[in-house]
Amino acid sequence: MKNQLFSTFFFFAFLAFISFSCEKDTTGDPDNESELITTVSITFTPASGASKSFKWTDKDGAGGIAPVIESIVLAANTSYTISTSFLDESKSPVENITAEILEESNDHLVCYAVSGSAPAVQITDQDKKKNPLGLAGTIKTTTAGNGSIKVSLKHTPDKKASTPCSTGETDVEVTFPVTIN
Amino acid sequence: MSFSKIIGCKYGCFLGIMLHFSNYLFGQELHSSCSLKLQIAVVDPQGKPLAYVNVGVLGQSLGGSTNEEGILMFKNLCKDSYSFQFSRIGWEAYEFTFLLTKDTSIQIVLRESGIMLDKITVLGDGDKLGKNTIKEVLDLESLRSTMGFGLAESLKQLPGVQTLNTGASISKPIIQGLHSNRVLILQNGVRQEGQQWGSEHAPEIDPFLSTKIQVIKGAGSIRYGGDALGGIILVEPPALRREKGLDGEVHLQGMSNGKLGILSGQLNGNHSFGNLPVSGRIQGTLKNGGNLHTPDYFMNNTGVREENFSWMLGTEKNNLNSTFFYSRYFSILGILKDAHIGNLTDLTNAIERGRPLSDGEFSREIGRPQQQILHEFFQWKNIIDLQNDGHLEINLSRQFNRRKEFDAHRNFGTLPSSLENPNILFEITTYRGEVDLEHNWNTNFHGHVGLALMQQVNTTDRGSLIPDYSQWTGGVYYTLKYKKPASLWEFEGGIRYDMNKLRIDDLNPKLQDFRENQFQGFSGTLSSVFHFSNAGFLVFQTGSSWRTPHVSELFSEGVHHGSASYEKGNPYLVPERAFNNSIHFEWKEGKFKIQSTAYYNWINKYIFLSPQKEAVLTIRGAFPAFNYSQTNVSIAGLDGNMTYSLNNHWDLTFQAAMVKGRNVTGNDFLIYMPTNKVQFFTTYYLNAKENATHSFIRTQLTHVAKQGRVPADFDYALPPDGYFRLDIEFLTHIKNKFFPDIELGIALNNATNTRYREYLNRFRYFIQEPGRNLVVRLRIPFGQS
Repeated sequence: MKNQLFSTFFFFAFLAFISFSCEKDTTGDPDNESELITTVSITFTPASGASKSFKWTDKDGAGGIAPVIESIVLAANTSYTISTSFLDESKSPVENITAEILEESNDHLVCYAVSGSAPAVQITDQDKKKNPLGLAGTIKTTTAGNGSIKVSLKHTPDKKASTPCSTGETDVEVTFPVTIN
Repeated sequence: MSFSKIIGCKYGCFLGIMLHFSNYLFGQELHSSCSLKLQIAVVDPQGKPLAYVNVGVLGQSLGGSTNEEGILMFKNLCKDSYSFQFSRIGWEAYEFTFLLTKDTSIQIVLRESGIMLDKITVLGDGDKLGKNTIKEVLDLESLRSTMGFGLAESLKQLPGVQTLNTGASISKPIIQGLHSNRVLILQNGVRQEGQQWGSEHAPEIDPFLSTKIQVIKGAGSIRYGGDALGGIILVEPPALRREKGLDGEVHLQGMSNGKLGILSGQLNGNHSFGNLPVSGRIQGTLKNGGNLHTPDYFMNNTGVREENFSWMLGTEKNNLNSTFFYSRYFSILGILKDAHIGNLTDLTNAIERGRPLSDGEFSREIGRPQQQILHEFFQWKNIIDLQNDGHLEINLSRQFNRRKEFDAHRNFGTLPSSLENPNILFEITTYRGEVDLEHNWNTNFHGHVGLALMQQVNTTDRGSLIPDYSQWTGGVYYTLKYKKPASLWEFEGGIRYDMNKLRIDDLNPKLQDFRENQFQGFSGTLSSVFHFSNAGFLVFQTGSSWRTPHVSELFSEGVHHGSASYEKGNPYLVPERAFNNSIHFEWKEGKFKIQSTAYYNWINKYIFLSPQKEAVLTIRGAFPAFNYSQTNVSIAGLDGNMTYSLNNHWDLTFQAAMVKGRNVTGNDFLIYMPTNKVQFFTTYYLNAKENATHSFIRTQLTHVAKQGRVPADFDYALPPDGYFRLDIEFLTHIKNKFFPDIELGIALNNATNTRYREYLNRFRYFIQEPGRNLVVRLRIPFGQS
């Protein structure tokens, strides 16, 4: 009787060992890829003439192969409308992240910081709350020269702050060299 | 005029208790009613003195524990009948009543209990861990008053422990200047296996399940692993109930800062089924807190949730006892939103601001970024009593750890599924098997021989910071202790061999050449104790331990968002080896009590993040780059405390710690070494402090100096200024008809609402430490104890 009880105890205990620790490792789950932004593309469209696109690309993500950076070449004394898009080119077909930014426009802001002869960017689009968004804008070149444009994509910035571009978490920050002929 | 008596073994009582007591006159004169002395000596069946036995007197404000000689003195007793209770973890509890009529000396024989629930209780004779191991034990009162703040914050009470924090909610213990993979945490004798490598990964243990937490400093005990370069933390649940019946306790805590509430409880029972005694416990903790407050503003998204549960079931038959222990820890931690930065520009902006964008408000909602951590632990422990030869212990366990980290920004992807998905998901499953044989060669020599095997699978299901891997480890050890009764010296030595096989399961072609890795090595310790007088002893300890590089150090590659740095592993790292040397001093004479440890540790090939000249350009901007590298370092330190008991009512305690870490090869300081710290405690006992149910008011003044020993050009901001902080605590016991002993604690932490920043908080760039916090806690035991 005693031994029976004892072995019964062990039997249940062993069952417990197997069944109570029920959390399982999900080994082999292929979902190891997170979406990322690999490419920033800016398209410049003059009032007349063909539009030009310039890309900043890092297809393998941080580290590894160095990013490929195209130089922006613009004509002097010209007005352009610009449109910026964000892509994931590590996927096939290429995924366009811009649509998602539009969807969550209140939580995003594209900022442009310029230096040298690169002219300032005027943001022309708005989010759902009528605050600046920055996927579209205008730029007006003057004299020829060299400079740069830094494009940043901010997540959850404080758009009411005095300097909204120094708030929020930066998802993208790339610098294009600019040449104005 | 002496007699001895044998108490018969009751049903359900495992071992007989023998009690001798002899009357012995201290003096010849007749005593007035309340000046009697009683000396209690507690020994084991072999007659060896038993230290640390708790002795309580029922219905009286008396109590204490036996000293190293197994002796406890009571003075100023009255001519009366006293009921004594004797208890010690791992030993049979015992109770007896007798009438005191004159100065008396009694000897109590306790026997080791069958149900021994922790490894510590079977380590040897008398004082289980032995004096050869340099250790600090967190007393139950300090543990209870701090366990609402988490394990690491409880441990911080000890002079040799500091913490590495990430914000106000994530805290990791630092021992002798080392943390994370260099500190082992053992839950009920089993190594905790989670993602302990990360500095923002806190230990996944509910302090409420424990009544004893101790820290072994340095490479003191190779029984638990050969890779504890800094030290070992032992978290032990209390022993199961041995007498028939039920008891339990409920903890209720409330904190003003964060409006945090804690409910924790446990129920212990014992029942015999036929001839089979079964003991059990269920225990659980719920914690809920919202945004914390600094003196100037709220810290957004710093709420916390915890849901912990554990049970234990044990039985005993003949010479075997068997225990099952299960615990489940689950927590959701909000991470300060202002500290989550996307790149270096954000970091620079945040440091420039030095505070959150807005003053924030109170909220219990935990949004992104956050961590969700689950740790499940299951253990089956068997101890076979080999009678006088020792014990054989077989310990099997399984652990599962799931860590989800949610960045401020969800992954881009299809809504809504991408909202629920963490940015990082690690899962780790560990099986361990351990056998330990304690062998008593004779009364002077005690040995341990053991084997430990582990198999582990770690998968990174999201985020690609570290690759998937599997790991097998095996270790064998032998320790021998020499302790001759009444000798001034004790010696202990041990040697251990460990082997580690690491396989990278990731199919990334870059890792092709590093798929199979193997490491092996020896570790060892030697220590001796010298009793320079009855009041004190010195411990000399030297040892060597080694640690294999962790997968994160070998193979991680990517941007670490918390620190805005690009970290790159190095697959060519070799194990690091430490040489630890310490001297420990303890002395207790009259009103003075001193303990202190001095250490000098040398680590060859210490693995650290070395800053690189070239930044790494990513789509998020340029990040400062750090590579895992190796160097030789030295870490020296001194810590200790000193208590002076003015009288029955006043205690003054001074506690201090300092650590100096040098990168010897690089001729520089080591980063993130603890700052010099001194603490001054004043305790006023409202009634006699020996009283087990004493009340006291304690003030604690802490001064932390500004860290001057920092590496050049390594940090984003200068170390913060030093600070003073004042904490006040009041503790009392309330008795009523239904609950015999309710413990009420009221504490005011950071009483002056001081603004300060802590060098060892990784969020010090962004935010102050929390402000004033009023803590009210109740502990309500119930049932037959």
